[in-house]
Amino acid sequence: MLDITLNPGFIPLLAALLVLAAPQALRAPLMALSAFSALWLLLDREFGVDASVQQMGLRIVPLELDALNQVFGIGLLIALVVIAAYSSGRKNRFEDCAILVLAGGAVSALFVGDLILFAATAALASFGAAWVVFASPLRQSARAGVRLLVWQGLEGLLFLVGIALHIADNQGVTTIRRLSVGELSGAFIFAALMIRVGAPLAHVWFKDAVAHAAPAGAAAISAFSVMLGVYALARFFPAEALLVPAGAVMVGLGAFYAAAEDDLRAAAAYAQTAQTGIGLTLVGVGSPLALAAVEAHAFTCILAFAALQMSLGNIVERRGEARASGLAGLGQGMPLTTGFLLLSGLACAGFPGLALYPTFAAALEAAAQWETRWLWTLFSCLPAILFVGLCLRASLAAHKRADPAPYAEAPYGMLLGVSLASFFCVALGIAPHWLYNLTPTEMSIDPFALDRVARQFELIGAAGVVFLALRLFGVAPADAPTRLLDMDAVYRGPVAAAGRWAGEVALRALGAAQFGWDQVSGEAGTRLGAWLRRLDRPYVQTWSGPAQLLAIAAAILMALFARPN
Amino acid sequence: MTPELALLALLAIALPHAGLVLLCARPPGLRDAVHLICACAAAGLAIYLANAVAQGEHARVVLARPLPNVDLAFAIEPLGVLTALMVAGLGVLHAAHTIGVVRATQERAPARLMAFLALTTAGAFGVALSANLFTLFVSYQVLTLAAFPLVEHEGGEEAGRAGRLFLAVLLTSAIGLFLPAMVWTYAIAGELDFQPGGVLAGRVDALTANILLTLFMFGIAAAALPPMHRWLTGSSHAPLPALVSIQALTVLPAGGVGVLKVAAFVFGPALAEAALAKNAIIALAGAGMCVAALAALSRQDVRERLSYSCLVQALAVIVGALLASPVGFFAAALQIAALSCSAATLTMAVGSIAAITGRTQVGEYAGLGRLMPWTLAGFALACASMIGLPPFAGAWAKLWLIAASAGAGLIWAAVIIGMAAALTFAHLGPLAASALAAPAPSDAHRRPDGASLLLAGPVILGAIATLWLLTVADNLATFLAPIWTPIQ
Amino acid sequence: MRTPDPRPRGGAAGPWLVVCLAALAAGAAFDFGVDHPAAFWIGMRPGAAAALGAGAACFAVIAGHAARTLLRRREHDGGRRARHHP
Repeated sequence: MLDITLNPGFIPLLAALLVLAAPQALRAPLMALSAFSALWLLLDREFGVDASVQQMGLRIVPLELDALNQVFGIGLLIALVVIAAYSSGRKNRFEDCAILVLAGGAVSALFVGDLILFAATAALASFGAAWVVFASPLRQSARAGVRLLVWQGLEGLLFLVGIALHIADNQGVTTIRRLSVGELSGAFIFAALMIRVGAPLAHVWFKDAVAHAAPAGAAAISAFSVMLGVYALARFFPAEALLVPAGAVMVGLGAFYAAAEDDLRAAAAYAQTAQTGIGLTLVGVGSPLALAAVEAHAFTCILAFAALQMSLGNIVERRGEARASGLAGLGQGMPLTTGFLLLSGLACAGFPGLALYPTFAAALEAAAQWETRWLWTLFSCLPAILFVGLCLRASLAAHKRADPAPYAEAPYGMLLGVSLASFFCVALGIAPHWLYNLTPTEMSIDPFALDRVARQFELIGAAGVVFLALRLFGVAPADAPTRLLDMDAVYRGPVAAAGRWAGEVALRALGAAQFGWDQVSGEAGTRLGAWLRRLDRPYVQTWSGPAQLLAIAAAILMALFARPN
Repeated sequence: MTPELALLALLAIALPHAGLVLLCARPPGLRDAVHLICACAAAGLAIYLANAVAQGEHARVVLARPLPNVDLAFAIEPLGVLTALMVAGLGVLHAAHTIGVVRATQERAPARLMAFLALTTAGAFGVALSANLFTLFVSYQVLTLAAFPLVEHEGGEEAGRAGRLFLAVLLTSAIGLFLPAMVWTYAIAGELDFQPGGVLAGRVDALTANILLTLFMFGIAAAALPPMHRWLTGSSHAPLPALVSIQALTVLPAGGVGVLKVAAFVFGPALAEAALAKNAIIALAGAGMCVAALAALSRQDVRERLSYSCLVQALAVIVGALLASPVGFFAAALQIAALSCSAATLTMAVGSIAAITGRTQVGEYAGLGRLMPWTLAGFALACASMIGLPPFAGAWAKLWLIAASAGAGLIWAAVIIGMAAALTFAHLGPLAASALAAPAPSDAHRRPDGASLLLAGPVILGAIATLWLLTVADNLATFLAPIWTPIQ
Repeated sequence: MRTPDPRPRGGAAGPWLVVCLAALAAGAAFDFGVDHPAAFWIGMRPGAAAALGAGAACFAVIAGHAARTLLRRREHDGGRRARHHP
């Protein structure tokens, strides 16, 4: 058997170069082949460090495999296969290349064993994500790409500072191990990862990027960007107490906006933020079951939300946008897409028998303690809110009659991609034990125990009944074309204005300082010139000239002959 | 060919280069061929010398001996040879680019421009390969006098003012501050030769060390330590080939090398005696980095913005040099290399864009990447390196700078470097992004034939050099190891 | 502008109501009928899931109204505030 020591993530990166030159018919197969090759490489290796080199006195580990990164890696590579199929439905060479850079960078980052390479590959993934948004043909995508670049630049710089401080504190040791937020280096790296996962205050980049990316790009950003941060938190900061409140706020914030947003792609992004919040909280809890549940939950989130974004992407492909207020007639014109939308929405809500349900059950089990009862309650409510926000709202809007139905079904490639993703949603929902067996800690829970399934049906059923009743009585808000403000309005408004004001003040101070310096140096120059001109008139005798010359001569002589004791 | 002969040839090649370019001004093809061939010859000599140092060879050439123990001498050592290699290697790209720019813009005095570019490069070689403070001082004056005509090449009021400022700041500081410090050093140590371990080690008390360090740092105005930085920002309207030379290849890097040589070979462990001045200068450089990055944000002329950006990077070299640790010295040397590569690429890209489209304002760059993809791709890569974004070369220089600052107990310096990097991102990141991603302008090309290979090729190769630097960083660390001295 | 009538008219509302009622009924029946392990807190008691679901639906409706009222982006201000940089 061929023994190839190569980080699996490097294969999609190499494929990205080939895709730039490949004809359209070959690009999707090339993407899929790179994913399969990387998967084969991943599954063929034993756990452990497979390669390490010395660079500038630091140990660089390009490949280190264990059960934690294996779970994430398999999830991401399956997502790449699905997205490759999806991307065959449209022509965009640069987006295909960008998706491979994003995927390759993210997968590479999973399997490296040192902080330097982790930062480098994560930054590569970030560039890929920004390029995905830039390659989108949608309106305002260029500005969204610049905003994404700002966030990712900040993340990269925080990483850089954190790693540098870590090197200084640890005599050049950079191998990946547990870090502490109490140390300055750990705090910087933690802050960087908080941006990556979309923690509160930094959560806006994710929905902004997804909402402005093209259909395939949105699915790729959804799959490959945030979950890398979850992995990194599980690796570097397991049982970190700060993650619990941060995750809880993410769940609440994500649920709020997922229920209220008219733009369904943004709503799906917020829903993913909420599910990521569950992951963060469990990392913060830090028990073996909680960490195993995080890994499994991240796996299912990758595929379920990719399926949802792809379904919504079908709508964007035909209609230019996917707003709940504009979905009338979707069921007539795009029945398959509507079906997949429903299926993926149910999967993201954790409907029994679909992808997120088994891992959600594990997450609930991990939080089922008296100390974490409020977390358990919060987690329990989330499926109901997402069912209402993502599934019911969209379905009710899609089945409103619109006459005539002007849009055709999505292209074949896109339908193929979304059907593959939906297949995985169903497969994971029905037979989750192969996923449970992959996690580092064995999960012996039975997600299909009658009491669990019954509670989930009861929860979702009650939410549906109440929401439909409120809608029937006109209490629930109608779908209307609205755009909602979030923290980015603060950043782009008051914060940017404050920054500009501070910059203005600083520049004026600098200008005043420069002016003052110019005045002083000009005056000194004038006086020096006058003094020199006086020296040049030997007939005008003053005492100051010779005295000054004597002082200078004395200084030179002292400098020449004085010796320190 | 012996190392001594190669060293002499490298220093002397500028004279026939400048002479031939002036003599062969017509036809233009001959002039351009001479310029490019001489640049290639200098690069070849620099590669030979680098190879010799890597093999462990030594060479020293003495041209004059004005005082006992004071020679006008040049020697090959890792830091100097590395700098000479960067200057000469990038100089080939710069020569090709200069040919492209003078043809595209119908430059009115191209031979004179090329001649002084050659002489300025010779000055930079002299500074890099100087064997002692006296030679450094003489080479520095040669560099200043050779670069002055470049600054005021355009003629007119503004260029004249910039030229006078350039000359005044560099010459006054060198003669008023560097020269007395050099004399004082001679008085203390009895010699001026650069030595790993520092010529002043164990010979100075705290007061003397503080004063000497202050005189040296402000005396090397080419390093652009505020308030001696005005020449850099004032020269931003020089012709673009001259700007590449001044900011990326000769004056600014020579200032950085001068500071590093003084810190490593004159002070060495004696930097610990000058703690007060050292920390004050680091604070000044750090504050200067942040203020310069902020000032860059306010500049709408791309050339002015780049000059402030280069100032930020140059001040980082001073911080690294003064941290007085092997890691700090390595970080400073790597920062000089990264600055040269990225600043050269950026300035050449700006020159290509100005030559082809006439655009020099930040707002005019939006969407140009769709019409000039290779040039703007090189521009974007160089921006990323300048900012210090992983995985580009500039990131590793900053990584080591921050690690060295933290290792020296100066966490505040580490944070300031991070802040400066963030502000650099603010003034370069969106510029590069909007250039690449915005809708293409409809009226971009002033020249119907677009960018020639001479304009686009050097930019692409410069960007590749920026990436290549990343792969050889480990080799650089090994190559530069002899200049480090463990602090006692 | 006339606010669209939120009340479901035809479409999928009916089928969804049936599905949700069936799910609620089946879930509640098994929840009350099957023996449970000891509940660690009130949220795990029989019937609590239905209460949580109802509460979640109310939260979703309140979130919709609150977002429309408090966080609705005004289009003419969006253009003024979001200055292009650089």
